[in-house]
Amino acid sequence: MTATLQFQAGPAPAVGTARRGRTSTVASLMRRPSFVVAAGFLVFLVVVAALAPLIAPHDPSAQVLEDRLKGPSWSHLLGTDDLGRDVLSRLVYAARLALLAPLISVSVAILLGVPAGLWAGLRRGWVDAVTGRLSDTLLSLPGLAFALAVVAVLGPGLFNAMVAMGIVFAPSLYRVVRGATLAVAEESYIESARAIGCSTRRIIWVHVLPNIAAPFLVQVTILMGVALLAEASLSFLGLGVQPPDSSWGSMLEVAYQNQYDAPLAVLPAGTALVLTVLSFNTVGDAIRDTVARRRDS
Amino acid sequence: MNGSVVLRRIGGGVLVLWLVSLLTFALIQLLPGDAAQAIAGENATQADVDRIRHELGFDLPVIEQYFRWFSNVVTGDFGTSLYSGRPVTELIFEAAPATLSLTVMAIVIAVLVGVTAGIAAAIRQGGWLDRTITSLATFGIAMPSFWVLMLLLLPFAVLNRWLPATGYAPMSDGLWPWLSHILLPATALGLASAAELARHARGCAADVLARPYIRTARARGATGAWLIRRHVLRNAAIPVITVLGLHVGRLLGGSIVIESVAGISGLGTLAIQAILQRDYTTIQGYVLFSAIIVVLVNLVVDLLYGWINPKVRA
Amino acid sequence: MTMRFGHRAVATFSAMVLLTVTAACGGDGTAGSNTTTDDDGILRWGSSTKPASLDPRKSATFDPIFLLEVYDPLIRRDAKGELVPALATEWKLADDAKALDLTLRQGVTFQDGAEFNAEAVKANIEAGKKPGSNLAASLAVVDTVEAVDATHVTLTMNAPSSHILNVLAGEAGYMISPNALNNADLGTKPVGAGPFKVTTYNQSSLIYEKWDGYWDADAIKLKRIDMTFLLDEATRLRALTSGQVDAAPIRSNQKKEAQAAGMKFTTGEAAFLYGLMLNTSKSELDKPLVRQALVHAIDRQAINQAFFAGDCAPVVQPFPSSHWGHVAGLEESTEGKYDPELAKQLLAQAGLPNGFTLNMYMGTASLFQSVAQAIQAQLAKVGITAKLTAMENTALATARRKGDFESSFASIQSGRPDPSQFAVDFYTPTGVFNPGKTRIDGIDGPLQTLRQSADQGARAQAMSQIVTTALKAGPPMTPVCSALVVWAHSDKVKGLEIAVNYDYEFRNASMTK
Repeated sequence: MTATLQFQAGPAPAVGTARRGRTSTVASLMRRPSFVVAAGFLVFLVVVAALAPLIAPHDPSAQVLEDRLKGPSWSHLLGTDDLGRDVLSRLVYAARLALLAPLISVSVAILLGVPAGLWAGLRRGWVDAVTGRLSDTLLSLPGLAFALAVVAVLGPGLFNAMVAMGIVFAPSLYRVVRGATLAVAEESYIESARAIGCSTRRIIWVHVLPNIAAPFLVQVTILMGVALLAEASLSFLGLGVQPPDSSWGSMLEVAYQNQYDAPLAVLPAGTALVLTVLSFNTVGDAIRDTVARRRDS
Repeated sequence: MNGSVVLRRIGGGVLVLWLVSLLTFALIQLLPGDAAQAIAGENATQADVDRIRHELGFDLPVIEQYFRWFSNVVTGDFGTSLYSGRPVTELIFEAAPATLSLTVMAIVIAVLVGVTAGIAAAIRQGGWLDRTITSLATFGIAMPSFWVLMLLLLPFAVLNRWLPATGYAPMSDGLWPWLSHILLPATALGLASAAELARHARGCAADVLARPYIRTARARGATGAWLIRRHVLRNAAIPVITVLGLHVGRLLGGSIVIESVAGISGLGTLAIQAILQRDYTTIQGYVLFSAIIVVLVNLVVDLLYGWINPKVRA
Repeated sequence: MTMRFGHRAVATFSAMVLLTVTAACGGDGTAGSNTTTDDDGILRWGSSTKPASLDPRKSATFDPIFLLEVYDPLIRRDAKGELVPALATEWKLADDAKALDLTLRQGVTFQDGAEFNAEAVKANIEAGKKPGSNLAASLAVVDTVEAVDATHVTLTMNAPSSHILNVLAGEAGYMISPNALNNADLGTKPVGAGPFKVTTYNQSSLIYEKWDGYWDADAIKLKRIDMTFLLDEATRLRALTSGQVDAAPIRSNQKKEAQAAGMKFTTGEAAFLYGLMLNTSKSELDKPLVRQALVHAIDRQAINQAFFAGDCAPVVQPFPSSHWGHVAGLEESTEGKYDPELAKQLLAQAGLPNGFTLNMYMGTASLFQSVAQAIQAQLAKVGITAKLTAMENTALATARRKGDFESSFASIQSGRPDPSQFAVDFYTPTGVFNPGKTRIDGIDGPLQTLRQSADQGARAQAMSQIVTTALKAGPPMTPVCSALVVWAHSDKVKGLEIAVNYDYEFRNASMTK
């Protein structure tokens, strides 16, 4: 996955200038148009998801069987699906899942990957070796395949599928955190801090975390995008979100089944997916490029 | 390349595979309910259920079960399908050619399209070609492969019948049938990888082209084509190969959905059917097999990487 | 999917492509005659289901389409549902319907060389009655099987069973070679006395080759049948329109697309329907008023038009209009009509003015998911909140057998092995699909007539009574509609027949050059 490559390309951020660097990092981010647009889109998505009942023109579950698979019209800006439900309203409501589902995965990945990465980076030793091997193992499983296996055991459902993906993502986050922590830990001031008896917790909070924030955030944004695509795939296969709930992925499946009657029906959900993943990726790219530039300057 | 490095890599791979086997085995143990009952079916008597439990070794302690299973796996016996009773290895080898064709073709397309595009963009950095390719690549990474396939199918297979819309034809049926069936699905699958490769290739090529020795060579009259062949390609090969290694897992995963849309009966279809039918032995075999492929490919990539770039140490 | 695209097929396909692309104007576009039968005809069939087993004792309800190529039945039921001789040439039911004499065809051998005779029949029936066999229930009524001589068999039943003829025309009568009865792999390597042998059976395909040792081999015009499993509707249609399969079942609302690709259609009614199976021991389903409300709450015509392009006739009874068990006019009657207001009133009368919650299971195929959601919305209008869960077929069948469900939207066979079996399975307390053990008064008498009489008129009247009584009592299965079976195929395929009772065979099918 791009995840691991990120680790190879990502440099350790400037150390010692954490606090001041953070504020102007944000400022330089805001000067990049691509970041502004992408972040803006994500904020827009959050707003849409939160205000869905107010924004959606129709009840997303209101079926009017006589009006199924109709094209765009004034009352249905994006047409209707195979049960006569308004596509735009469903798209809007499904935005909630488009944010929630990746959040579940990434949270699981953070829970599993970050503490392990921190420990491996700071303490090294056998923990590092063991978690390293575990991470290699998980990375050698095709993510979707592993998610399928978990779904087989736990049963279909959005939550199960996303937890499975979270487990799959944990190693890449672990690697990034470990790598960045290693870079930080090598700085001599950490040694000094230890020598004068600072607790590990303080070391982590005050010194390590701020400095690994950038690569961590980059990785998280990438994972959000990948998680969203994974959710779309699983729901498309019928193993993710279960009817009558729907996500952009399951909307795509319905559109696909009816492609002959409504060839363009695959566009709304697909475009929403692409734009959202694109936004995640762009935000991540922007953070990485900004930090890199700061380091190089 | 150092012999001990090779051995260490292989050893690492074996270790990972062993861990995967543990993981796969553990997964099935987590099953809720009585597996023997599920296998025996609803018409079975208690005697039948007990017999099946004994046959499949469910009555043994877990460690023993694992050793039994593992020793079978190592000798190539992945058990029999709970649904059809056929050996899992048979099912896998039947389904594998389609998926491997799809994945390999996707990689070929990804490399051809991605690297070419990336290098082309690097040669004329800042130009309209560069900007177009970079934007396309950025979009390409964000597109779900099965959606791309749906969009491709529309003009090529549904509205016009230039290419078959579904199915897989093995090579034994002829080159064109095989190619015509695999082209659209492989293109859709490989697109995201092509986009990433384009970005990386562009970055690397741009990097190389900016180096002093290139400028010197150019000053001495070397043409673009020669430069590309001599320096750019070789240097770009390293990250390209690395990226590919990382992508194998993702491609195998993506092929699952592509197979569903394209009606190809490969490993992905096998997995989905197995999940829906609660065919746990087949699921285990599938996960193990996929892991083996990924580990093998990564091993090859590692070794290739070391061979191409002798400056690399373990 | 391993496609056997021989050179001929590639050439044909390329020709089709060329013609489709270059022939801008209409017309058939097919060069050459399509009236000469191809003696080496291969029919490529796109199958919508996979067999559970090729052993008739373990097969699933919709499996006869896979079994009838390999096995010949004692009595054949033709496409119209009439009984004609097959492995048994004559049969005589005793007056009290408790004994059946069969005269067997001579000179028939099984595909493994075993001889077909009375002993073989006896062995088959006795094997079918053993526990673990799906046929045990329908053969339970048979007490003894006597091989009077090599070509005569007498069955003695423990109760009047005029329906035994239909039973023997179904899976119970599919004769397995006596030497193969105990084969562990019979489910994948079947051995019968039918016109085809199975040569390949794997994940994606099932291939039958004509067997020259068949007793009626001259009547079979196909050399081979290649079945490809294409469970997904959209994929199956695409395989058809792109020429990868010659024929496949499609849903009525796919007809437009199929027609645009030049496909022809063979259609027919069949004794199966879409409906809501109910577990009367769960939720509020034990109340007759509630079940009646369910009948009135469903807008069958809307579902018909939306999902089946008008080809799924609304029914409030198990049998389609062409079937002898159908009662005309029930759908418009007071007990059967669509009336959401009435449904709400009935619910209020039952003490549920605010409705109730109902769990509904459904299969994973997109058709079931869509229709179930439509039903969910219709039930919501009368106050019933349906919670949907999709389950895979095997798991669903198990849940239903065990009674682990509240309601399940499914496709239900009503005619096999005999329509009276439906009544027994659904309307009697010991019925296999009646987990709530609901008793419907007034069924027993007509059921007995059904089982005792061989007079079709009397049987029809008895069945009418059963159907009407069940509807009035609040049926334990809420029928929705009975779909026309539509097979789409290229015009090279001839002789396809839709069997009203699901006895799909390709006996009379042929391919033209």
